Amino acid sequence: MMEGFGSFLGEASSLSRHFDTLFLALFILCSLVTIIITFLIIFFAVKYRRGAKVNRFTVRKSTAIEFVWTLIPFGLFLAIFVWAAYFYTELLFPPDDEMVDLDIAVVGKQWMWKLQHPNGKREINKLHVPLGKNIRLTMVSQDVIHSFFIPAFRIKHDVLPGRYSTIWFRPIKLGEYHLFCAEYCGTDHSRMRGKVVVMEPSDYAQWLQQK
Amino acid sequence: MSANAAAEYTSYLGGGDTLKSWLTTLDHKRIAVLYLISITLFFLIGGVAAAVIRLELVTYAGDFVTAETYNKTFSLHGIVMVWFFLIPSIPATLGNFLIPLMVGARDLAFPRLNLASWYLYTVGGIFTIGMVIAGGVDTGWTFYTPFSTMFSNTYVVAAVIGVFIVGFSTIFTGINFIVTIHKMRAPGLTWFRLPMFVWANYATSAIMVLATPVLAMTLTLVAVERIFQIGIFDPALGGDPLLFQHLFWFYSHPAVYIMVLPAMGVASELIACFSRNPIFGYRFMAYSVMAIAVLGFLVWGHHMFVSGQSVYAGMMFSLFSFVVAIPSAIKVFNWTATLYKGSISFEAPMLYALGFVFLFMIGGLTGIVVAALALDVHLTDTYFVIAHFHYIMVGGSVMAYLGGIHFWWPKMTGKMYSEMWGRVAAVLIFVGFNVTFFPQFLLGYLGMPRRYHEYPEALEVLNVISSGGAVILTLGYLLPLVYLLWSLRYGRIAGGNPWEAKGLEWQTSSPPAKHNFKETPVVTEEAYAYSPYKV
Repeated sequence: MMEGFGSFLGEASSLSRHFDTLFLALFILCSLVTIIITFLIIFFAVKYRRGAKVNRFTVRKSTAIEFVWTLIPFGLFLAIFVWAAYFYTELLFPPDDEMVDLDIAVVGKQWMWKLQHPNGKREINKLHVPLGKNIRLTMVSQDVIHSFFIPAFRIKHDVLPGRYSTIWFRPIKLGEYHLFCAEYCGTDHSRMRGKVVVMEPSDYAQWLQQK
Repeated sequence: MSANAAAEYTSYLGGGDTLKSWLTTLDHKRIAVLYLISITLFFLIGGVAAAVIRLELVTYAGDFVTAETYNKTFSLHGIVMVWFFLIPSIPATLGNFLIPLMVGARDLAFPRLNLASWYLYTVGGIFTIGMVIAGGVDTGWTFYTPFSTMFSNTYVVAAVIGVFIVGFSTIFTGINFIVTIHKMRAPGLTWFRLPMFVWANYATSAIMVLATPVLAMTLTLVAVERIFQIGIFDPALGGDPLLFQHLFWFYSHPAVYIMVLPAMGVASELIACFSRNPIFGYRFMAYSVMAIAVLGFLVWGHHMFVSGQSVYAGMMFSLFSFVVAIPSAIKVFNWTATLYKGSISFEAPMLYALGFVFLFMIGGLTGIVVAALALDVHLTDTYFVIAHFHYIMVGGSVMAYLGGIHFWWPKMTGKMYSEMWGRVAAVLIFVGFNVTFFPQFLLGYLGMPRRYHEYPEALEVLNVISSGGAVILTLGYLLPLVYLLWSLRYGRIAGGNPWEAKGLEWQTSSPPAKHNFKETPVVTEEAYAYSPYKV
């Protein structure tokens, strides 16, 4: 059965749209540079092809122009750096304790994800979460390094042995989304996949009580 | 004429064509040819591994090879392409051949060290092939701990020994270039008259000498933990797995510049020659390669934005990565400006060079995308990164390497290759490359992780396009192998300077005499003293 790209990139967490806006801004900037340079290369290559009757006389001075064409784009890209760095803290620092609605424990091992909800309910390779809540994951590995990656939420963090890592997200769209292991972890690395199911909070509460 | 003087005038290829005379040669030009043959063999091995990877990924199910074989295949592809092809490619072949010629010297400073470097390369290579025959390694070329030290059941120690050994061949080459460029320049050849190719290899050599020992130590530590169970990287033994990543990338990020700086040097030579213009902003170009070499040591942590490294450390590494984009951008702008008011012709080497500038630019700009912290969180360890670094290393380095091989082929062999076929191959490679790797940006943006043997079905179409491109790319790579070899026998005689290029290497015969020059050349003009009016 064909699935669309929605389960990869649907803007399914509170951070997804912010990511997409930043990506778009940088994409436009990079495209501009690409288009200008490519145009100039082709334009010069055609205009100054050998045998063409054109004026080739020039006085070459480079210092001023080097500074101009270096510093102006650098300033623009630096703005992207600041923006991306600010957003990075938002991604990596979970909200304060009182803002966290749900704490989930994650254990990675070759080759599965084990997840445990606050009431002790456990699941493997599938994570049920309520819509619109701040969810914090505390993650650790039993063996090698794994990486917890939900493309639709634009979050990823390595899961290390001997050290707890935390990430957070707030799902804003119902549905099923891919969960991948993104750090190579041995033979069945590509099978260390799962699904994140975003449910209405009432459905989640009900699901949580099921045996 | 004495016997000694007569020897001066015979080509380096003539006189003594026994195997022994080649394997014991101290002539930098012959050693370059030895390297050329060896790295071509390894390119083919790495290429076959790439073909297996692309074949497996044609369907979303893991049905062509087993997961274990797939993992060993991409590990082999990475190890071979990085250490046995890309790192030695331009320096050990073109650099070895050209640097003494370009500075007007008879040979490199230490000819025996140069030969020893090739032997170390060969021993490391044999070790690696032996490791593959024994059963291979499945850690990826990055050998991440504690997987490599405590969990993998494959031949990790043999693999790291192979890389350890080949690392010393790199160090030897670096030392040789640095001393040669400092001490053996012809009279009048001041630092700021050196061709950009020499500058680029000088910067590269500095990285080789400073970074490669760190790799050697890191791999030794991997072997020590694996063999003796001494806790260095595995937390179960009291070690720190991130320590490995810091050490590994402290070498491996600068290693990226080992792979691409020489390519920049080649592109500068080609673009200047075929536009009949001096390189625009020569001094900025020279400072840029040196700046890249220095700054390249300060950015390794950008491989670790989601590893658990401190958020504030991440910010510094990101900032430095943006800064290193400045000298890289200077290179691209100046190559473009070199075309301005030139007299441009489009022989095969120029097609490769222009292709290089475009692909390097895409690789560089997408490098900024993954250097932007929050964007990297989503994109790291996906195919976006794969596409990005292939644009730099294959689109960039390999394009420039092939451009350089075509440009200096007449110098190395005395024969011209078929210009028509040269152009066809250049275009095929450019098209095939883009069709192969551009879809991988989209795959990565969608979130397809790298090193995946199977993947969700929705991603199949893009993977099929990518594999289709790989077929075109393969054809493009095989063509030069055929027509270049053909030219050895049937190509027309090149003459000393078929491109009417500047530079000392073009002032001697093709192929050059055993001792390069009849008498030491004296340099009286700047590099690239081309004039577009005189064409």
